[in-house]
Amino acid sequence: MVTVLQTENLEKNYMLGNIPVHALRGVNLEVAEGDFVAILGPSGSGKSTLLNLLGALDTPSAGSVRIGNSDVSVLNDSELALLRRRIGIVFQFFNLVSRLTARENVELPLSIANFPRSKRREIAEDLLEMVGLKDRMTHKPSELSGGERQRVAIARALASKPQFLLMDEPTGNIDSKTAKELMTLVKDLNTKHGMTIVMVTHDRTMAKYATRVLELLDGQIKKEACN
Amino acid sequence: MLIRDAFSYAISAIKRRKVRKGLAILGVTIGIAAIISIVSLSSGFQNLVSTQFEQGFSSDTLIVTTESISFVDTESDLQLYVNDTDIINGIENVNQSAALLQRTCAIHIGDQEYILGVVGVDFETYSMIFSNTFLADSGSIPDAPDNKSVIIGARVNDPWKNGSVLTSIGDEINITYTTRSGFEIENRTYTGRIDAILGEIGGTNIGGPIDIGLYIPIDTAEDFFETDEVGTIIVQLTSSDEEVIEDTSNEIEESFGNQIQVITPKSVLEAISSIITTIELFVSAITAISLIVAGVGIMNIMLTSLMERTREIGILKALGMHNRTVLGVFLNEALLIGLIGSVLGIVTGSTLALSIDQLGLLENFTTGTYNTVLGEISIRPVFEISLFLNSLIFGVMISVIFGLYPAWRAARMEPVDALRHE
Repeated sequence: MVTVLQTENLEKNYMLGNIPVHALRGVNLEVAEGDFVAILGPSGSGKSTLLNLLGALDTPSAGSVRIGNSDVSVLNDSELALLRRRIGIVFQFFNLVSRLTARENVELPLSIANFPRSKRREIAEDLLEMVGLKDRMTHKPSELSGGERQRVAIARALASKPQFLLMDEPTGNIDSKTAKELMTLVKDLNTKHGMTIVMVTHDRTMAKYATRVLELLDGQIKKEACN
Repeated sequence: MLIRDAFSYAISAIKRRKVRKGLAILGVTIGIAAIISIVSLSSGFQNLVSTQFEQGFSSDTLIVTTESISFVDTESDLQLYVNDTDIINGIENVNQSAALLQRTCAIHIGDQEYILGVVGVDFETYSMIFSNTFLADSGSIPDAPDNKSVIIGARVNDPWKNGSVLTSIGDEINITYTTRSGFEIENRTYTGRIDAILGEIGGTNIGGPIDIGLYIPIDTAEDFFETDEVGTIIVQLTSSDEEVIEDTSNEIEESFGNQIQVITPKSVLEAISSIITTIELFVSAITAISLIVAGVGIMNIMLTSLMERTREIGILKALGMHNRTVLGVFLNEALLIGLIGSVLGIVTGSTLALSIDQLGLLENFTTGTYNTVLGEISIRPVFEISLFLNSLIFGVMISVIFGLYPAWRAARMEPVDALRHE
């Protein structure tokens, strides 16, 4: 079993105005290749903070995050940028670039990684087809529904062939029917394509799609269950 | 990110905020247009000085005058007289000289009335000194003029340059000189006869014949104006050698107790050039300031766009974009604004300069002053590749310099903070 993601006594403190916040208080976590992990917790439990740390978007206050073979806290800006290219992230608010079309959004990580134009287009079109948006490629995010936007975001996260996929409340902003369809797609990614997925959510029904469910409360993992 | 991708990304960002980016581009356009039009016109002026002046003012000719070309020096009260040509002709290396006795008169020609400088001069000597320009187009310059002989410049007869001539050879012309004796204002009039009309000269000649000139024999002028005081004596040397010019100038000045000025073609050109250079510098400084203002505008707009696009920067960083690439993407935008603005500015500025020329706004910039006689000046804008290139580089440079700070701020953003930005 290959470990793709590991944290040891991970702590994160920050200041919210003048008040110190201890968002994470010693999180130990190990994600193996092929896992589908759901991190379940109410708002304020520190799950978004944890996801940012796992995505190398933030640095820990104490403890360590290992992504593949690298320890995030010892990397410089440039090495972090290269590391982020190997991580796929899907945000709650989609975070698509509004002036670019669906296909251009999916091409963006490839463009950042210096892929030639024709190769980029090919990959983007294949991925959009896979997420069921073949006929929406030239639409801008404003012309797409919430569910469609999140599919574009998933396609974008997959574009650079990441080692694992991080999802922050992927169904938080879409209706339950669309959410169900989306989670079927995510589940398929895990089972059919062997994609390792770490998903943060407050919704138990969404957590049911995962193989492992970790409950996060007050910055600590309280309980682990397997589905 | 490949350079081409970075550019198309910047173009898409500029397209997104058309009005705002358009205004930033306009700022650069105005600055560059001002530079192009002003510099091309002033090079045109330089050109005029160095070609047109030299045409009518051959390098072996000197002007002896009581007036100072400097604005600072006080003029001497020493007068030059018609007969002073005898003194000057006695100096070594002097070929010949002609005194110009000029007064301002009212001229009736056909049914037109003008105020013109009437120049009394020895026709024979003058036509030898200015053998290329003091040439009759119709009629002929009389060898032995009587006291009614009058020679007029082309523009006097055809003031609108359209061939509708006012008079022809042999016609009469009334010259009225207004003076005063004691308290009384006296109008003296005499009727001359047009013996010759000069061909079109164009350009400007200091001391030489001009298109709006009117010439009468020196003896007639002495009688009519009741004076033999002259303002200017034109001297032709036997050589245009610099040393000869220098030595002879000094000798002429010495023979008049250093109370008169000898103007050499070189000194005139230098004086005019230095004035032009000063004006050009001043105007360039103003234009440069306008471009800096445009630069501040670019910076302002880019900082605003930075705030709007904070989330986008977060996305780019989360997708693994290097800090230096983020810097590059934003600098690219500034560069494109500068590039588009400069190109538009070059086009606008050239059009402006050309239309000023086409509309003839700088033509008929004519004056006839007492002693220094300027003819017709027309300024043609001069466009040099180096002017275009320098403006382009300058415009782009200003934009990039002012885009540097916003771009640097974008590059330094923490991805997690940028993504949280509302």
